[in-house]
Amino acid sequence: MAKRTRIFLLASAGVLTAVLATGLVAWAGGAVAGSTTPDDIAYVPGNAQMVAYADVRQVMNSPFRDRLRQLDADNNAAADGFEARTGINFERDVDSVLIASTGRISVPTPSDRALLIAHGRFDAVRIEGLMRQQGAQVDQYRGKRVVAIKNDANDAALTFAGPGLLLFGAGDSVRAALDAKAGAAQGIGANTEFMALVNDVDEGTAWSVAKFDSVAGRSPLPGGIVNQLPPINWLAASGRIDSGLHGRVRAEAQDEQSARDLRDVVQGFLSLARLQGSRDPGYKGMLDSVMLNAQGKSVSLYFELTPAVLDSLSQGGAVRRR
Amino acid sequence: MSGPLLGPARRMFELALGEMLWGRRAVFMGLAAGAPILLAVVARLTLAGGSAVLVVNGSRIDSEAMFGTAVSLLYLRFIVPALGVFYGTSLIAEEIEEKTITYLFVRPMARGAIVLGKYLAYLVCVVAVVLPSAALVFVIMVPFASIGPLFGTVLRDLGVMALGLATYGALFLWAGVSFKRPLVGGLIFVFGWESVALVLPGYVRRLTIAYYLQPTVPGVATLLAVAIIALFLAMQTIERREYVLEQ
Repeated sequence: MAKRTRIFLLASAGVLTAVLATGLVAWAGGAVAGSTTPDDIAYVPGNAQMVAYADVRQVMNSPFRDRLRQLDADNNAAADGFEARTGINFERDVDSVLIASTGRISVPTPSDRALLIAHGRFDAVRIEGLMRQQGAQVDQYRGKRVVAIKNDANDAALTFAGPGLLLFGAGDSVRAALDAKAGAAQGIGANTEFMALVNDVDEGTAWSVAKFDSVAGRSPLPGGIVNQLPPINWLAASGRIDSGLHGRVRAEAQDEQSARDLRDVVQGFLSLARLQGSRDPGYKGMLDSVMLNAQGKSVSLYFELTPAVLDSLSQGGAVRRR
Repeated sequence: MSGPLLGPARRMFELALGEMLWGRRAVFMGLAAGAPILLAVVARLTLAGGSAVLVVNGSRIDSEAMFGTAVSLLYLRFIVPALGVFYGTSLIAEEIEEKTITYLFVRPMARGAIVLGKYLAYLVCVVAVVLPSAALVFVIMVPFASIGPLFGTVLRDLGVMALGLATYGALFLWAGVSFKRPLVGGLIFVFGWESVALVLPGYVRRLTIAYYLQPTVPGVATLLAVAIIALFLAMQTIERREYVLEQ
């Protein structure tokens, strides 16, 4: 081999190695700095039907979120309402959030049953002051200061379980969380089936695992369609967010036949969607990225919202709004 | 196939590698690898300086999104197949066209070793040029804070590019030893058939290489199988075929 050929190959390998080493250092730095969720799961009560996690900081810093913000610039009302009640600015103060729900959908206000576990930078004095202005009482429970409002209209409690760690939810939920952490009540960690699904999805920027019964009543699909679906036990979803969204939805059916039936149902919906959206480049790009896979009792649906697809969707939306 | 394979293939590899890297066609390869780097530098300086904002369809495009587009459209849909066609078809076809194949065939080595050596030289040559180019585009365009989260994606992209180069190269090498004018057919396949088949509904898209290079398609085994089978067929074809050189 000629000398100049050897030098060229060495230079090429050197460039590649240098870039890969840079990437490895950046990735390792991020992995060390990033928070992991299992610690927070210790607060989730054993009767939780749904657990969802989001790395809020990563989502907020992602180009994907900037794009969504451009698409939906006017919709800040819900966030403002939460800040007015609690003094917490979600975008500024929160790093990660884990939401658990007992999923009792027969209760008139199911969202109040949810427990929110957030990591971030919180002004405890200001937040407690705001709660007390609205009639909250301070109580001690398992060594923690619990600020709770309970009247006909509200049932909300808040406690700082550790430095930068906030628990917020219904009074019973917050106390149940402290019980679970103290080992006085069974936590969700004892549910091996649930935790196996959590371990399968918890590498994403955001993920969720839910008992299907608990979410079926809240599905955007008509009840008739939900009732026709093959029996499903669990639903899990995860998403990695960077400049786009790389998502996966996994359903655990009751048996393998149900999984095959479910795959066929979803395949049918996808074909219909492809037929409907074939003229819209945004939807077509998204549908082209969809991949369906059935293995054993699991049916997984992968999809991607790339920057190009988002651009097409936003362009399509703008045209429709006009 | 007659005679030993690896020793002669290695000698052919060393000879062909030098010719590829420093021959006329290297200019095309240099342009294919250098242009994206130049574009990346310009885009990064422009976006970082705030002197201009890139807007496509009314939406602002950031540098990370531009990198994703560069990989999927520039590298995987243009540079990788184009290099595969130009180099793959020319590996043997050029020797036939220039009537120099006789000098290779009179050497005391199996014809399959000539194909294998030239193919490996092609692979090392294009991988050594394209992968560092894509890696440099990545570090130029993506801010350091975002390199970590995107590192896994970039590793996968680099692997897919290498696999794409191997598959396209082997396929068009086979075309080169089998047909008289393989370049035209190769260009029609890559920029005609593949572009059309990918947007057709049903299973037609599975008859393209580009389909298996998509990030959502688990195509590693298919691409490897196509590359190995095409290389094997090319080695078999050259052993049996008689090349009549035009006077």
